[in-house]
Amino acid sequence: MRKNIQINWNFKFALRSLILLSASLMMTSCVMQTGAYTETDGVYYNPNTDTLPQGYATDDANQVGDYYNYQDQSIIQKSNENQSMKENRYDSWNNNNTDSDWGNFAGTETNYDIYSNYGFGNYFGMGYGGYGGYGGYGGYGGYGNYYGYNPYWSFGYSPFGYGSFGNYNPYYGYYGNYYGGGYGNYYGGYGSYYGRGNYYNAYNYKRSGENGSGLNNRQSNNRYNNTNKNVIQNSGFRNGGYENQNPVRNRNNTLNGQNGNVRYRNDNSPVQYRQRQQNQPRRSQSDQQIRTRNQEYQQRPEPSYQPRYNSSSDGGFRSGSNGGSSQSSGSNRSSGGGGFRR
Amino acid sequence: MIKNSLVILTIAASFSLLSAQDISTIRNTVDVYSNNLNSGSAKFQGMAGSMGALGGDVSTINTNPAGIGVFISSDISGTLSINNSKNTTNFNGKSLDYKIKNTDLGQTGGVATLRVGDNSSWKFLNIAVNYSNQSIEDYSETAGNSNINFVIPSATTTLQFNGHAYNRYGNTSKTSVAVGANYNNNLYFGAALHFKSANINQYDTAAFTDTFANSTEIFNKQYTPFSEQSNGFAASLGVIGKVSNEFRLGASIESPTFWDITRVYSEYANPTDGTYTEDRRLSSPLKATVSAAFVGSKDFAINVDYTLGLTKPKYKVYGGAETELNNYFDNNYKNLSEVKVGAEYRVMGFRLRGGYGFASSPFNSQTISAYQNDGSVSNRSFNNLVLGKKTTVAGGIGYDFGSIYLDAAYQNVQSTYNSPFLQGSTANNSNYFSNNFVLPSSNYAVSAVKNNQNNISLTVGYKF
Repeated sequence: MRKNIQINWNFKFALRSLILLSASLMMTSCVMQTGAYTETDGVYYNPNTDTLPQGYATDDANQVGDYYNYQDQSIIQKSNENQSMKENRYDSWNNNNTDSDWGNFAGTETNYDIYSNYGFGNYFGMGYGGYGGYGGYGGYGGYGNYYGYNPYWSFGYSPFGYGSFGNYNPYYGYYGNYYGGGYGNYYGGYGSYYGRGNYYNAYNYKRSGENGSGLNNRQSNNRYNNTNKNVIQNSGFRNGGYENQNPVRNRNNTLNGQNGNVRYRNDNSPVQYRQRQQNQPRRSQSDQQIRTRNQEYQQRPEPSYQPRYNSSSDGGFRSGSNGGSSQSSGSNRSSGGGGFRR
Repeated sequence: MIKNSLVILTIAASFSLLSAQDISTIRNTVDVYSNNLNSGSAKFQGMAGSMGALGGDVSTINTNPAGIGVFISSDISGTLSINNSKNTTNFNGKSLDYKIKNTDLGQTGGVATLRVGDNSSWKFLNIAVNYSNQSIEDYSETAGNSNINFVIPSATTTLQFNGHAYNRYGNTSKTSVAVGANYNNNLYFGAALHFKSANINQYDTAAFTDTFANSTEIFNKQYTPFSEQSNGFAASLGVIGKVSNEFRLGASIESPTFWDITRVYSEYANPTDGTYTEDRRLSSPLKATVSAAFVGSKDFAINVDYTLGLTKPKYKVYGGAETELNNYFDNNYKNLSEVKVGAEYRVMGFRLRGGYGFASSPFNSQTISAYQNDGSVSNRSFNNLVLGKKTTVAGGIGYDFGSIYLDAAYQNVQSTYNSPFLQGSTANNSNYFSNNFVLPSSNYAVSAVKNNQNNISLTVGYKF
């Protein structure tokens, strides 16, 4: 028993020593690292104590104050090279057939240029650059310009470059807002809504109107507030006689039988709208007109925009109709919906 | 007598408050065109965008371009943004929600640092380019309420309200170019140009049940759906000064964004239906930000930003619609007021970040005539109408490997607002139109919307 206790004490002492040693080593290493701190974050940079990063991406790694980079093989490689050079330092003498300091070179040879046509600066030299102009940036449909980079015309950026045919041209270029083919193009491909000068041809220019004065609201509200809410609260009509119409009547017949009281949606007289003071519902008879509108939307050229109109009978809802009772949670958008998302 | 007149005048004024264009245009004017993007590097996001007096991140180009002058090494970074947005509407005791998930390239940017020289007081001249991108897709659908109904005598039917949706597709992007300078490691200056673009597809749609035909009628608000393709330009200036090595102050000012908006919209029954185009010019509010930061040690930094809108959105007047919008903003727009706090803690290569932001509602309290649950109409006052206050809670981690750094951030953004719809004016022909009917409602239905966003940003960057 006593012996056992003695062993434990020894063990604890060893453990404590180990911890102390490692802790002191850790602390020392901390001091060493923070002692020569190379700050890269300007927020914390203190010009009095910190060194600036001097392009450390291009420098060799393993500088004082940095973590040792074990991935850096350059030192080992250099060492191997040195070793190899040292071992082979007599090779050049041993393998040579001549003792001349000039090495293998006899001293009187002449290097004839038998392929002079391919030589530097000759017929085929540099001239290739000219063709390269077409192949590289100079392509017709590519990034650059017809004349740009074409050495036949000039070096580098041709004076014809970004100017007239280039992609940055506000009238014909990719980045142009109104006539551009690509980026400035809201409804998609070439020649569509914003493209190629068709902008003003796609839709007629017309200012949208006002939403209406709040004073109208107030008059209506007063009426709503002061009348019997249970009977005609939302009808827009003060005349209760409308509510007594026979609901059994065929809807279409009712429509057909109406004279001047029904206001059609395709009423061609804007004056009548302006004169209307009541909140009277208007009714449209024109299905054809509706179809026309749908077609118009569907003919829009840009695919990503079109689906939103595809089921235009759904309006702004994102997918089909929604029941008032549908209490969904976390529903996801279905494809092909209109404005209703579910 | 005078007292009574004042009361009447006040009531009249309050009723004219919402005499504006369709709600979605008002909403987009503030939400899309006037607010800054909520996208940036994971460091920026993790500190809730609060680093106006700290700088040293390319995303500060959006708040204080002097932050570019703080850089002491060149930097390239790119950020993947994963956004999850959920709108929950509450109307007449019924709740609907809808989730939108988007994964975007949130930000890419680079800073080139040029050391001026040891003998000069100007230490660094830095040039930065940053591109940020954000989806602005939004959908809020409100459940129906059969108590809101319209008797159509001529068709012997009744239209019962069966639901409404504001539906927006689109995205905004911003390319910024900035120059930052470091004077004697004490003063930092920056100037930036911002080129913005936005595209929007907006719907404002109501569904009604035709009780006679037992079918659903879909109504579109007059002048909707509409599409907008917009380009904007803004410039900003900023300065950061070290009061002491620990304490820093920053200030920046951002010009209005001058937007050029090309619109395509649908018009109904004027006298026929049609699709037309028009353009608008909008200048968004001028904004100023003041910042203070405390860099306690090599390990800890905290920053506070306060951003104040100084002007209101203003449309160039081409017609009645723009006048109406301007009047609305004159009467109801409350200048942006946003406070953000962000902090960073460094442990060796590790980074821990946190942030909090609060933005007030951009609109004053407004009184409108609105339907109650029983279908009756009364004048009701709403805070947070159209858009509401917004709170942001953010956190982030990162590791700096020396040259390469990786950062991740999480943001939770919550806002609540009251969403009005259904109103139209017969006199102005601005009602809702279906294929068969024109909705005669001159009152608003208002649903309570809660928007909850969970955003994750992942940045990989390289310093050299």
